[in-house]
Amino acid sequence: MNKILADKDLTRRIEEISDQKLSDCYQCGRCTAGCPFAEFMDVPPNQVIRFMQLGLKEDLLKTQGPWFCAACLVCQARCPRGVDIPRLMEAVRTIHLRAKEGLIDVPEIDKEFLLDAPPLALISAFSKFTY
Amino acid sequence: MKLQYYPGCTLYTKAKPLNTSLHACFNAVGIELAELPHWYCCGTTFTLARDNRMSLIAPLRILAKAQQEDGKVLVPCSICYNTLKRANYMLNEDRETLDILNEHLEESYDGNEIVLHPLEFFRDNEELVRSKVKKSLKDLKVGCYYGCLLLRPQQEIQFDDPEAPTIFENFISSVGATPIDFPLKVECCGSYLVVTSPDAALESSYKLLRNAQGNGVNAVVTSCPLCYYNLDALQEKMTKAHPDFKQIPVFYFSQILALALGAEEKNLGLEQNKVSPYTILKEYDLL
Amino acid sequence: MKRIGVFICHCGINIAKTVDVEALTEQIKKYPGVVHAENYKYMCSDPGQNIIVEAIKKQKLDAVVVAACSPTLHENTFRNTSERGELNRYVCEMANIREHCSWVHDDREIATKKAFHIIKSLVEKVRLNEPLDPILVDVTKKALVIGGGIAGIQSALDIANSGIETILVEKSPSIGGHMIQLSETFPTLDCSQCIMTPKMVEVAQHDKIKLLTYSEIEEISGSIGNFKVKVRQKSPFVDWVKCNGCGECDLVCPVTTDNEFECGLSSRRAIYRPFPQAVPNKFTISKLGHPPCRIACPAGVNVQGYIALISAGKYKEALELEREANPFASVCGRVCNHPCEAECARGEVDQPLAIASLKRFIVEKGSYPTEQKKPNGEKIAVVGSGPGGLSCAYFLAKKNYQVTVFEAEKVIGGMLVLGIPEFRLPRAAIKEDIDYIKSFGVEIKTGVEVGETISINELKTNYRAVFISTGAYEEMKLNVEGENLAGALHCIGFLKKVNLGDKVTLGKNVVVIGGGNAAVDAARVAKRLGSDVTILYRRSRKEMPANSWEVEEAEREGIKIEFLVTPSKIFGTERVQEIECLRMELGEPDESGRRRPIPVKGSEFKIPIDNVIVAISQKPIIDWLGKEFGKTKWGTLVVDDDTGETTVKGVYAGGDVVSGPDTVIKAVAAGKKAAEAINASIKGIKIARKEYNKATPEPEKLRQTKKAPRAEMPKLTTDQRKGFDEVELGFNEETAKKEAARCLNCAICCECKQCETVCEPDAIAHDLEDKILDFDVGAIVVATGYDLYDPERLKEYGFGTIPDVVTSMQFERILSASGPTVGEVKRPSDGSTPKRIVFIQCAGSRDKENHLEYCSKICCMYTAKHALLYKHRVHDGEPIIFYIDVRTSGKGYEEFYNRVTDEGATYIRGKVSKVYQDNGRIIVLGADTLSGKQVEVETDMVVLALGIVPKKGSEDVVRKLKIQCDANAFLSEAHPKLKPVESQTAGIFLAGAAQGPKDIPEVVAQASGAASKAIGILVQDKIAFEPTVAGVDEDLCSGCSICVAVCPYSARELDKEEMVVKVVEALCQGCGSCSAACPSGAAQQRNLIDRQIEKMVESALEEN
Repeated sequence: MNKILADKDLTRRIEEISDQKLSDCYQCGRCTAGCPFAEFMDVPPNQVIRFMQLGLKEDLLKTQGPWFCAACLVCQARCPRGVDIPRLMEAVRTIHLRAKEGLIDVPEIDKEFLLDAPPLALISAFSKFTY
Repeated sequence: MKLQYYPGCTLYTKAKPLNTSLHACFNAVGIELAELPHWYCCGTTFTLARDNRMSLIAPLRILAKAQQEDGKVLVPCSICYNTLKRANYMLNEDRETLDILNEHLEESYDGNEIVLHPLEFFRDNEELVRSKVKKSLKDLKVGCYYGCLLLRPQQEIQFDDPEAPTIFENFISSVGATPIDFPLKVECCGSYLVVTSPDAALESSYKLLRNAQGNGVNAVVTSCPLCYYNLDALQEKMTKAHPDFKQIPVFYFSQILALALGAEEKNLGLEQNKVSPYTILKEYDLL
Repeated sequence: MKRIGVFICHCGINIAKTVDVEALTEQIKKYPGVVHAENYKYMCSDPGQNIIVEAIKKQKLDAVVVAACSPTLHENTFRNTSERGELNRYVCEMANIREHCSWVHDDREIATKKAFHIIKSLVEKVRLNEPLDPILVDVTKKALVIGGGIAGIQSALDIANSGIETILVEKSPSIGGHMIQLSETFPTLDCSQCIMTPKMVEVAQHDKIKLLTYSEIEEISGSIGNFKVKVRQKSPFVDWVKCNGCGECDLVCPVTTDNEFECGLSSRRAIYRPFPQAVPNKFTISKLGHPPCRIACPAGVNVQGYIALISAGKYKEALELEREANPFASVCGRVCNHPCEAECARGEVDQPLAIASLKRFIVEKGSYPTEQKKPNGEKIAVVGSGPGGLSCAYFLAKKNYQVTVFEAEKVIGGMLVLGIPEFRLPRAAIKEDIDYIKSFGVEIKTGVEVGETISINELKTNYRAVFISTGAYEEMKLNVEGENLAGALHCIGFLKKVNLGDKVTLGKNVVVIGGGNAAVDAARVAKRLGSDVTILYRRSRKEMPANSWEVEEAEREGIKIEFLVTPSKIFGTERVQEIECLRMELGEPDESGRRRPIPVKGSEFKIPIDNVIVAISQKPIIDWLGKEFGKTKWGTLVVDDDTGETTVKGVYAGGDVVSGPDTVIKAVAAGKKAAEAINASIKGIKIARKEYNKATPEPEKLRQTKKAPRAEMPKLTTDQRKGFDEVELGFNEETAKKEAARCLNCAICCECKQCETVCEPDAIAHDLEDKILDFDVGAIVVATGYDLYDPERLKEYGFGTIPDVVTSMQFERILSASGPTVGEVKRPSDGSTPKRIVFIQCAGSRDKENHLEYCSKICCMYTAKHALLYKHRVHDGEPIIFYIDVRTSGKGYEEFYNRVTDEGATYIRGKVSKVYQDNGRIIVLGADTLSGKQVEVETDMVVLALGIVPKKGSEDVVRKLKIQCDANAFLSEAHPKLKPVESQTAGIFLAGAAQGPKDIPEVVAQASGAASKAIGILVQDKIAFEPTVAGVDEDLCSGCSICVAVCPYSARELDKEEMVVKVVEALCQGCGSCSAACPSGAAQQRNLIDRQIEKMVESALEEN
């Protein structure tokens, strides 16, 4: 059985890193509705936020959702409650990265792609996905 | 007249056409682009972690250096523009962080540098461009792709209406081409996900190119080297994934302007486009 | 000393928990003047009040302090209690030890101490209170209801049914509000029309209701029982007493505009009745002033009018309307410089209308016989048969004058025939207009040169008035060497020869000097005579006075134009051979505003020529007029600006002879002005100067107008332009109608007056003005209603760009049996039946970040109803509803919602992010938060359940009433629970959605509540006012009037004889502004005089 509101520390850390108030979210799902990458996520943005609100730490740290956020800010622009969702996603990534859990292993990247891709794609990805 | 210019890394590497064609444009309207001496990378992507001050140092130093030269700096790359502008906004809102950072730097910054995109410059100097147009691009149906970074977050970027922007279309009209609206022009191309989740980038870029084509666009224009890469270079894979997809040329806005201003072809960098632009340009008698 | 009693309330535990009431009672008992103190659990209860009554009697109290809650809540209660104890109510005061003390403190000791200080300061106040009697004022037994929606209608009927006269003021031409727009109503699905129209009729027929529609509140003053109201009854431009609502006018009106009642889903005429069941059933004309084209025309031609008539296919009427202001329709349709087009608002959307070409079209559609006039015996002479002279003759002849025109030349038409070449203005086209003018009995004598054949004095003697319009024919010289050599011609002389058919031969190389229309005409004529032609003009293209379109044609025909060039010398032995020119540059602007050309030194160059045509300007020939005629330094005649009369009485002048070379339409205008002045002078009437209100479309409308390019005039190809055939070929009917339909109808009503021709009861009154009506009323109900949130602000939902995204009110009209689709559900874009409709709830509501923070309350239910009605109309239709929460709190509402889901509506919990079009399909990007899925729905139509906002413009009424609004601009009630229909101003009550979003049952209940509150006041003969008003100590008052200026209720006025301020006590609200402002202390509020305040402050601040 999941224990809700068990990990208050997690909620506090997320709020600190993101500078957002989790209680602002009323779970309308508009972030999920407009997210260009929601279909690739195992857990969509609004549910990631729900995990945060309920302090479901294991679920939150297990989900791959935040790694698909491209910080395009469509959700932020349309959120009726003024929640900066990409900051919340960054907070989850930050927690992982500070625990030395990155998404990509640079030597593994396809050499041909490395030569072809514009530097700013690589630098952006490294800054978001590596520690 | 001189304008201070920050090209950013990619304009010297993969996005040379944006750099050379932009120079050609400013040259044609009689403005010199004075490149900021000793510049470095802006860090790409503004940090969204509120407790990460390290990531602010690069943009801060660029802004401080730029300020020593001139009160405003022209930044054509959407990512650099977004990063510098957001950092600028944040440092103005959070004076405490600005003071702390200033203490640790050689340079000192007061938060007043103006970060300017070429499209903003052309919006404010429309006559300058209009009077210099040599070639009519009348029949070219251009879809203006804004992407995310020029529009959001609205409060910090203040570039245009984030849901229904028009600055790009007005620009395209002023150089004599026909702008065609398409609703996905403000949605994301996939950005840096192309590195980690190429499928995500491919599908989102495909979706918006299809939307542009469905509205009658026959050339897409953008200002971001990363969007440009996703929209142009991924088309080959799109054709594989979606056999009915017809490729469509993608241009930097400066290439289109340079064409209209009658710049020399060698400055346009068209040969670097993955999807050949020559067929359409010849069809409309533009080369 | 006064015997004061103090009564301390526990307020349950509200006070007693924090304040030690027992200790407090003991402490206050010892305070000077307090002879009795007691505490009780609920002092406001019956036993509590009895304690006070008994104490007053037993202890013979002179004053009472009740220490309890806020006086807002219970002051009235305890003052009534005092009266029961036979103590004057104004010597009873409350000490607020709850809100001001127990609720805001935790520390019992400190709170008790503070409570003691509060009580004793009130003891100090009450010690100086005087017993007062209420001020009694007569009540005006009439009510005013503002707003004619269901709320206003219900209130008005309730009040009127109690026998009280009620004035119902509604802004739009009919009552009914939004409710009459609805199809069915939830949850019972009664037809809105069926239950609403009987109520509307009842209002109209009620002998106690005075219904004022199309009226607005202009001003309100006074207070409860006696308000003074000014109502502006806007002019409907139709006499509503005569109008029988037959609708004949609707059939002939050529102007269409958006139908507001149908939410823009269909159009209506400029003369309209909002909907067939409107109450009152009368027509109204939408008139916004004068359109910019009509104002721009020097002759004041009703451009919008004839264009509207063209779109309606009424060409005869169009031509008649044109010729009301200008007889030269045929000529102006071809050569007018059309200043109207420069002002045309359509130019802000794409390009201005081709107004002149449309004029030509109506002339070509046919000519019509004129009504024969009977001469009135007054004879007028006109000198010159150009457009000025003939216009003057025409307007006078139409007024039955007998006009004779004297023309020196053998041909009629002046510069029209002599100056303008045939390829621009064929002779037949001129004849068309001249024949029309002649048909009014104008006599034209050619070959009669006034000044030679007949003298001006003879004319003056034989005619009542003379109009001189002899044009400007003297050609200006270049004043360069060689100008008199053979082969050097002057423009008008050259054109006149060609135009009269004389043989003119030119050499190969011809240079024309000048930049006006005559220069361009001369060049084009020379080109047609076989020469190579170059125009030399000393400034740049921008400054060229010739019409730009003529210049373009000239260039198209192969004429070269050299800008910034001026001739300096013409070389040649007998004939011209070469012309020497100088290059120019532009300097500072001269007095005409154009930049002055300055020669560039050493820039001389030569052009070989066979002929040179000088076309630099002309001036009038007026030496035949004697010294009595005033002349200007430019050699033109001096005339009065308003009348055109020269310095010689009875002799008028106009056209080029006054203005110098100018346009046809200005000459027409001058002739018309003189004709009016001559008529006015003979009949002895005064001409009023006209001021016009310029009507321009709203920026919104300009933005929404779809671009449609201006019709291009078909022309001869340049190859076909060898001879003098007319270059422009004219519009065909299809082109003309299409072009006319581009008109934005700036003024809406175009004043074509077609309605007048069919109105049997003669009710049309285009000159009707607004009326101001005054009323005295005793109570007011405000029911100004609501609007939907602006859908264009929800850009991500595509309203305005995707035609099948509609608002909830538009969908009501689509569902309504009386709507534009007669109740069939059809898409606005193509009229097809939508197989799937997506409903988006909370469109604008519950979005504190970007839109409205509040819940609009009714959208959940009306969307459920929409889904159900859609399902009823389209059985296989799929209603899909995106929602955040479904709120169904109301009787029968949850049951209704269950029915909707039972009948097949799909509810998806998630807020839609975006609606867009992809390859012609509408895509809705949403989410289902319950399954955690993003959903993309393809649909045929989208309905936005828009939030509710206060009615646009209601803020104006609110300001005039001086009532309060909340943060969302809804009207504020006096108490959210206990006074829900009262405003914070006594005598003004609230009803309906103006106070907050609510559904019909709630609105009706509130409206009846407001009505009963109003009746409660109006059944009284007198109304009691608090006597605690501000008075004047006349011994101290110096009459400085500072208090008069600061009084917000106009209750104070200066008595100039006694030089003291007097107070109208019924108006004073006791706000205290005057007491604070009075420098001498003469203005003192009763029972709150300065000394009381001082004592209270002292006591409150005192230690222990």
